[in-house]
Amino acid sequence: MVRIKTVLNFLAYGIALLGFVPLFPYLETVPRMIFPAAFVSGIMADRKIFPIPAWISTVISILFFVFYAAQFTKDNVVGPAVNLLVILLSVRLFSDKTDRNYLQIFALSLFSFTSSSLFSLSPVFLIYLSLILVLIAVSLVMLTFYSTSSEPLVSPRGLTRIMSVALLMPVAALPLMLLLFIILPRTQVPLWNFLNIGGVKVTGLTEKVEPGSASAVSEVKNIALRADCEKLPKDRLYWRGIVLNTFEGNAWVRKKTPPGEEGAMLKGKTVRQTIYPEPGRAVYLVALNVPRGISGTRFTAEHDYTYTARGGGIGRIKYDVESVLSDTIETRKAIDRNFYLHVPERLSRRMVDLGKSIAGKGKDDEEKISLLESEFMARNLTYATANLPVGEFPLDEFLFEKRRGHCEFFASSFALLLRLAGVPARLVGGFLGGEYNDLGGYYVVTDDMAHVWVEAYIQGKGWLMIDPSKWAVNFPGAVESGQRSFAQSLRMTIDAFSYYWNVAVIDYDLERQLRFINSANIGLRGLSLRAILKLAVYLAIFPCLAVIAIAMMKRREKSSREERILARFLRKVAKEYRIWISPETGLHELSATLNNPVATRFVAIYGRAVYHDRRLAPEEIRELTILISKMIGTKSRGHSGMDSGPGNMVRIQGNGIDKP
Amino acid sequence: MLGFAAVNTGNNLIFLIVAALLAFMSVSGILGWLNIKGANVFIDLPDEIYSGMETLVTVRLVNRRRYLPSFLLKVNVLEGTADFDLVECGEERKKSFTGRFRERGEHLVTGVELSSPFPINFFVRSRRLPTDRRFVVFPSPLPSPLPGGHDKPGMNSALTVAVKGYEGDLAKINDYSGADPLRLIHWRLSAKHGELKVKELTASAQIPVILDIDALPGSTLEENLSRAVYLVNRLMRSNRAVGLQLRERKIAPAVSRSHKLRLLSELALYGKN
Repeated sequence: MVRIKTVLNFLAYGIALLGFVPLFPYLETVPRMIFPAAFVSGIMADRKIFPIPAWISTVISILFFVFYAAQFTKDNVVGPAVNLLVILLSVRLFSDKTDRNYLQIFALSLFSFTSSSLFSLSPVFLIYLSLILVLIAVSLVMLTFYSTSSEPLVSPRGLTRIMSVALLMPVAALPLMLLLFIILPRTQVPLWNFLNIGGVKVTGLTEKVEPGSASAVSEVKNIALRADCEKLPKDRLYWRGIVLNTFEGNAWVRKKTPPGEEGAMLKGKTVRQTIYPEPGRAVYLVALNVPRGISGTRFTAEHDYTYTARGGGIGRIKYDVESVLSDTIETRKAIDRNFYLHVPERLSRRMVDLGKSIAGKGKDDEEKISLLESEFMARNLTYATANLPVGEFPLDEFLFEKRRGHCEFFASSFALLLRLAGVPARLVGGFLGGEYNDLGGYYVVTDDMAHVWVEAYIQGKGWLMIDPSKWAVNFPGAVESGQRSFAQSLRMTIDAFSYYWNVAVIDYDLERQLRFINSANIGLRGLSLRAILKLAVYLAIFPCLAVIAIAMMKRREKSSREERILARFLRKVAKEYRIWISPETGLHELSATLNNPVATRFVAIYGRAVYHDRRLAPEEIRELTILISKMIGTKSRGHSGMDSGPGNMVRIQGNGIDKP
Repeated sequence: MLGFAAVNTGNNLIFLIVAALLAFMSVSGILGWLNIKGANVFIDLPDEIYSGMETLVTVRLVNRRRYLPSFLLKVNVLEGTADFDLVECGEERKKSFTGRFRERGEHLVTGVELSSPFPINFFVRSRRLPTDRRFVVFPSPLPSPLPGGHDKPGMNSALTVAVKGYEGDLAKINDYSGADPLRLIHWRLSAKHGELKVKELTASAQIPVILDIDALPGSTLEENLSRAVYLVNRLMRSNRAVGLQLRERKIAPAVSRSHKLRLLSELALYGKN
């Protein structure tokens, strides 16, 4: 026999662990230490080794509550709350376990686990979620037995039965859970945004391009964003983020754009994308150059196609973009030339001279640009990320001494020389390239793809996109990647899962999706909703069918042909005569009670084989099947054995005048 | 609370947990409903139930379902409860408790209440199973003087016959004949006398007795009915044929068990209809 309490303890510790582990990286040291200690102490207390008196646990709870309550501020809610949660959970683990305390352990663990989702949105969540739900389901059933059963012990067989029915619950709940997840209403704007932490604010895009500030740059392959769109030629993968329009000291920065600048029609191929930036990276909304319009999130747009997210871009967002693959941005009105020609006073002599010579040679803006291009080409510049030019005039050193540098050197010096030559110019920061995930149909853009290029203004034409890095003798962006290695494919597959997790779960919003479909005017208004509901129903039905199929297969495996046909016969009899047949009822006894020739014939054939240890022959099975079908309608023939007999639901009892 | 957090943070993972909990609650509700649904309850009572006396009520529970066992069922009937922790599919389980009925007459159980906290003890689900179970509670027996002869009050007729019997009163002690049953041997006297002595009992069954309830010494009808019940039992035990003289009806004396039950039922229902 098994003690129900022992089983319950095991489950409770498992649930507590599942509540604690996902939260562990985000906890302070004290709760991190207290939980394992409480875990061990709890197990010991269950075995009556060093049980801790109840007053100690109360005192600990109150002390920590006061301690963490003091730390609560408007901006710091989640931190103290999760630490307190884990402390309270720990206290419950080592204190005496009553029915209520078990429930508290389950609830506190669930809350701890839930709060972990405020820190991390990783797909591992799903594994923890399924484990904790299964354990809680089984535990709640065991707890019901523990608190209501007359026996503190249960037989191993009984335990198996309880466990299997308890396990059935989460399995059966799965389709419903998916359906509920889809239809649960959501608010458009989170009301408690302060609870959403979403990690540290990271700007994938630099807001200040300052070549020469470091002698080397490290390349980190962190994911910056994922963009769901069609596959495009590699040289079109310029992801526009921020326009840096002012050169100050040695750095390009962004200042407020001068008024009056207005974009005109963009001409070129239109590409729709849905962008999923990594959390905390959505300060500037990045999209394929040139993004005509963005929807799906709140932002501020400026005339130079720089989109700044409102609300700081913290947390996980997604947005839809319509971009035009165009090299020129036409302007409706003339731009403020002085603003885009401004250069700092302190510049190297050589740079100023070069600028002036170009200005002198070139008749118009276009010619000046091509002269400068030839100048760059002639210098045989090398693309490099180490041993970079530094010092007072790093751009000067880049062009005339070291002749090596990364995109920031190329773009900064080119734009500066354009301004010196009298051509309005600005820098555009973003990304170049992207790894296409064929499985998910999206681009992965990583931090090491960060890129800067130049836009030069040509009177009458508009802003012309120029990437001076292309003129490097070893430009990396020009190299097309070849066959993918197995490791790469594997990475892509894993990334696709992560992507789908974000799309299907993290960013799911039925209303928003419907609104998008409607606003996109796809013309499937009624159908789209129906299609989504249909999908939900399929999602719900499929696991149910699977369970039924498995159950049927199991049944077929378990029972022989003879058992099955007998079961069918008994079911038919039970239905036709509205009686309950107890398992102990003998077959001949039953047929005698029924007084039905069809049943008698069935029993005779069946008994002839089975009671003589012989399997039923195929023709016998055929006959039995026919007999079973003939049982229909015998009810109406009237029959006398109704009021008595074994297992009849209609019974005569000793007391004489009773009916059930 | 989690739902509140989900709505307010817009965090889909919390929505996922909320969805899971809601789904889980619904499934547990369905499971709880299934748990009490496929069960049949039968009540077994002894043939003789006397008012005010403890009697054993047996509850039989049959799980008619094919796949799901029944868990933690509680049957409330006749002011008692029977708990069934686990009843396998197609299985029948019995549980008994002692009950007491205050009033004589015909009792009708119109329903039993089946309840269970399974699968999770947040709600107790219950169902009333309608039944039409009738049984008769006899008046509680009240000791009354044993009928001795015609002259005794309450006796309409009584004959004393000196025929050997096995169940009557001790008439005399005799020598062992070789044919007497062993239980009649008077061991103490046999030891004293050095030879086997047997108890000779009167075979009072042969003497028909007709009890007139109005002639019994009780002061109220209820008391007389109780006395009559006592006497019917007492006389039947001693194998005497007993009949009843009710005010408007007479029941001829007989000795069978079914006759006894008939007499007791008559007494139980007397004046009730």
